[in-house]
Amino acid sequence: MYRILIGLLLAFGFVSCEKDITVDLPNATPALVVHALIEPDSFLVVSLTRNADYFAPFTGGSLQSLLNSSVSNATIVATDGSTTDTLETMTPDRFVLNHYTFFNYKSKQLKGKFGGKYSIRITTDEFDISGGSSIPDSLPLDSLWWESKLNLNNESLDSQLVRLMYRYKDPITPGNLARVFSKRNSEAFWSSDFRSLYEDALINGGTVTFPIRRGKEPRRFGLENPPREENGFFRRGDTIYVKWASIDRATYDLWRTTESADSGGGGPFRTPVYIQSNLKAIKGAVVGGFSGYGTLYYSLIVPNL
Amino acid sequence: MNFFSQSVRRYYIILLTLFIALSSQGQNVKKLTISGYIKEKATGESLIGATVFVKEVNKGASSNEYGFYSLSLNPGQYYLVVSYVGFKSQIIMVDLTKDYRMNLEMEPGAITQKEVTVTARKADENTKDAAMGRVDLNIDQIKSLPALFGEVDVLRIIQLLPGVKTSGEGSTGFYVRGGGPDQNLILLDEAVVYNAAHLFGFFSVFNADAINNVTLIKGGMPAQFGGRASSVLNITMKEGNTKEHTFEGGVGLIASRFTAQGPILKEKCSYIISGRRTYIDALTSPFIPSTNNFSGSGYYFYDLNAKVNYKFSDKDRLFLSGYFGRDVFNFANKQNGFNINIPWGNATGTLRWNHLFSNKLFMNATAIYSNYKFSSNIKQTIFEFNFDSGVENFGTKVDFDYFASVRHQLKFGFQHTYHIFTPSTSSARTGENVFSQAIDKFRAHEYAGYINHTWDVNDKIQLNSGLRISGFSQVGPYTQLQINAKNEFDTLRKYTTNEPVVTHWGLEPRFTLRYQINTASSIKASVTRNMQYVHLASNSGNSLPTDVWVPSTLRVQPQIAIQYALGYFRNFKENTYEASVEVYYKDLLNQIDFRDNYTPQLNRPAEMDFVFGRGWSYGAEFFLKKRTGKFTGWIGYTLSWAMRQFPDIMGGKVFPYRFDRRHDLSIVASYELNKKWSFAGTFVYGTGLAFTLPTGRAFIEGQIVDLYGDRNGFRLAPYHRMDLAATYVPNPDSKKKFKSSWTFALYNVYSRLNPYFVYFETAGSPATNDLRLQAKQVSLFPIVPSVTWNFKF
Repeated sequence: MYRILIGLLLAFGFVSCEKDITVDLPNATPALVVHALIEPDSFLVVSLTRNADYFAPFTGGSLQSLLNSSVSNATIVATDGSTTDTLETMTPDRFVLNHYTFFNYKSKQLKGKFGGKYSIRITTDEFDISGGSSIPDSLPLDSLWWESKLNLNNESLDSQLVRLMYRYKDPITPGNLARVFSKRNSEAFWSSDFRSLYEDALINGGTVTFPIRRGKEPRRFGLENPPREENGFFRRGDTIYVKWASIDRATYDLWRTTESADSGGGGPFRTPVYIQSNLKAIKGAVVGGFSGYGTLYYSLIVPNL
Repeated sequence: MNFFSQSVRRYYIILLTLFIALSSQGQNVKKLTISGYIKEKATGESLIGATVFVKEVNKGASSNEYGFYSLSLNPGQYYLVVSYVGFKSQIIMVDLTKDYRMNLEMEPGAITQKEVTVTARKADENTKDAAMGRVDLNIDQIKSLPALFGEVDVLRIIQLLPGVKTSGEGSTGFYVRGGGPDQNLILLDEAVVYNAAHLFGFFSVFNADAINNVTLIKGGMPAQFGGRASSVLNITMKEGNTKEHTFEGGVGLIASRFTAQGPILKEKCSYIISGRRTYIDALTSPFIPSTNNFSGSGYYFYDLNAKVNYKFSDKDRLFLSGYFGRDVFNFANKQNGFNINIPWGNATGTLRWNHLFSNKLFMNATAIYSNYKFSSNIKQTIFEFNFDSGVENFGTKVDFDYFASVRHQLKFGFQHTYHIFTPSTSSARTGENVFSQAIDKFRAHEYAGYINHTWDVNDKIQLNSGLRISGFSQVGPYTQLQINAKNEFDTLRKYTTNEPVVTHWGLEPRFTLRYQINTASSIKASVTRNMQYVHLASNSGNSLPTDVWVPSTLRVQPQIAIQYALGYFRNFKENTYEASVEVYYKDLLNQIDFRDNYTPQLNRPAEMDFVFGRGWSYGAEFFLKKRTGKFTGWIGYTLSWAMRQFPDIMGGKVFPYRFDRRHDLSIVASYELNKKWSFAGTFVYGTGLAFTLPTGRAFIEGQIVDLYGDRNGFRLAPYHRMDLAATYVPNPDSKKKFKSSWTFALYNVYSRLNPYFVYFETAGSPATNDLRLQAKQVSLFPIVPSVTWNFKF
């Protein structure tokens, strides 16, 4: 809605000027940035980094600068109630990498399972953080298919691009929530640029048919992103993969607020969103959270013409 | 509930006793009454606030909202001075030997220095009247001032007054003495207007051609007004010319308007109908081919005002008036199979019956309907999504004006409003499947009874004291929810239709006192307490059509405002200049905001995301006005603070309100060169708006996430702007009925790039090793010239 409103003002010829300005911001309160993730049959992985002052330079602007912000001296203990595990710290060459996402801690024994509940404690000299998450029961999709002839007013695109569709039957119990990621061929899984979250507030117990937009690496680093006109679509000849993950309410709120906090500024039509974490800082401050994903994977081949 | 009923009963008894006491006082001294209506001679329009001053007793009376006045005096000969701003004063000799009905007609006329002497009593009303923080605006004066795109707007003029702040560049939103946007009671012919903005605030819904009178009360609110914490903006529509048919209109850059009015039965029944529409969509659509991806996109708004009145006799008169306006936004993107249709707007209807029980007792009984509706329809391929919200009111009220004597005037009455609030509700369709989980509409009854007594204690002291008792009863259906440990909702109780849920009520005492130091100066003080039972839930800096009105419920307590004000008023040079200094302190309790982690979510009661706190504001307002002569205008300056504190926002740390502005300066000037040319200019300066910025960033899942600092911890650059206008009347002395004028205006003369908002973007790239975040400031309007042609016949 925000972008539509700005578009409307532009269309009306109201926006006259945009210029670079210097804003004198105070330093950020130091915080531990946590991205902890557990999925069925997978080890718990955790990414620990530090936040930065808003205008601090990105040293080299590369992945290396992210790695430099990683925190490697933490002790992380996690449990599912029966297995308690101290996570191992991985050296950068063993990081679980996914372009600009990396995990620098991994459990040795603890693995996720549907219906599991997990708690975590992260301690460093500066921080003491604790919290928990869960992996809800799976929410399988009914079916997945693709559609062509998209009427894009462009013959070449019409013949090449397809839209991915899914059908999903929501269980009658309210409160089913999910997050969706997709990718094509050997690319990495990303959420779409639109919104990755599903909730059943409106359709509880019903069957929904809806498009899944192609996952997209956040556009700020979008060197490998598809051309703009392909936004959200897949191509003929692609093998499409979908990662559909049931999540609990706290994880939903974590990503609901995180995805809303990604385009900063004091715009006139929005207020800032502070991230809602499912972790608590006993010492220091924390940003991010602990996500339990009840993940199901699907794939689909779109034949060439 | 019982306590509330008892209090109301007790209040009625007090009211009745006072009424009888004052009636008998009048009868004991056998005073005679002169009363009647004051109207404009050419059109028959009622003149509101015209004064009838009795020289011999040094007292007078003002006409009420329907032009009615009444004076009770001892038998004898009197000279009455009848005056009204912008009209020729009249001196009438009356030999009062019996009750006398005298309807008066006044003619417009330029005020000259000589006439100022004659109209001295009216001219110094600002020092004589106990009213504080009250401004009456002259529509003709408003029309001569420069306007954005040439569109004359009463709300923009309101913003030029001290103590009133704008929400930002180009916006018609206004904020009074540190109050929120929902704390202004905006009335159009007594019907509440819930969203006074078109196009996200760039234009107001008030078409100046259809308006008779505008009054703003920013402090010392009289007891007949209530339901809002900060101010009253009372707008009265024209009644329609009772003598002849006239037509007027204007053609501007983005909108045109046309008004017709005239008698249906001469001197008995008249009408006015006025319409306005923007036409950028109509002008641009022929140039957009149907094959264009965005063909079918566009925006327009329109307003329609209409009013009919019928005079049964000198004692009874009926008015029926209405407003209907809509904004319509369409957006189409064929490439994505994406279509949006969003209409929103207000509708109001008012039926009024004026009745004179006697020369002293005037009654107005009103039935009011008001609604604001927002709806949207979004389609993408096979998926369709609808979103609706709104508020609807059915109201009745009875108001009495009792002119007991020249020293005592009473206003009293009763009001009831039935509210239906439609919270944000969504429905969806995908293929054959329709999903709709409507949230219950909120329903509530709002009641109030009031009495207001204006008492000239002696020549020095006037006391205006009022008491309002108000109540608000929420009734079912309603589901009482609470948030559990999993951050999900547990249902505590379900209330059935019309089952009482909760009743809030409160006493609202209102006092203003004037002490006349000498003929040219006075000191005034006021204390008021206001209750507000309905609230606007907004999570943006600007008013948006999606903002939702919510009632007080079990969870949401009524807002309370307590305001103290002290002022010194002085006129100079035989009332050519008027000056005032007012200081105020306002305490705001039970303020509402959204919690820090709020984002709009489907079919979720907004009240569950509210947090509650308090606010306070204080400041000093300086005002100097030149009233008469060829050169007129004013300078207003405000020094103020407005703060908020919420236990659940930033851990209870005090933060500035978004419209906290330390300095605010307005200069308004008009100059009439000759009959053909007149010029006007305005200059405004204001401290930059407070806003929230990120102070830190984090990487999560490959994206830069903004970590916000203190709420409203930063300031946009100061705002300043100068506008100029020139009005040209080609044939001012023409005897022809057709008259026209041209208004040429320059908005933002020196093209100051005032900040509208600031945002951040990544600049550079990892490939070139210069990736960084860059702050960008967006400005809206550079210099904007406009020309408007106005006509009348």
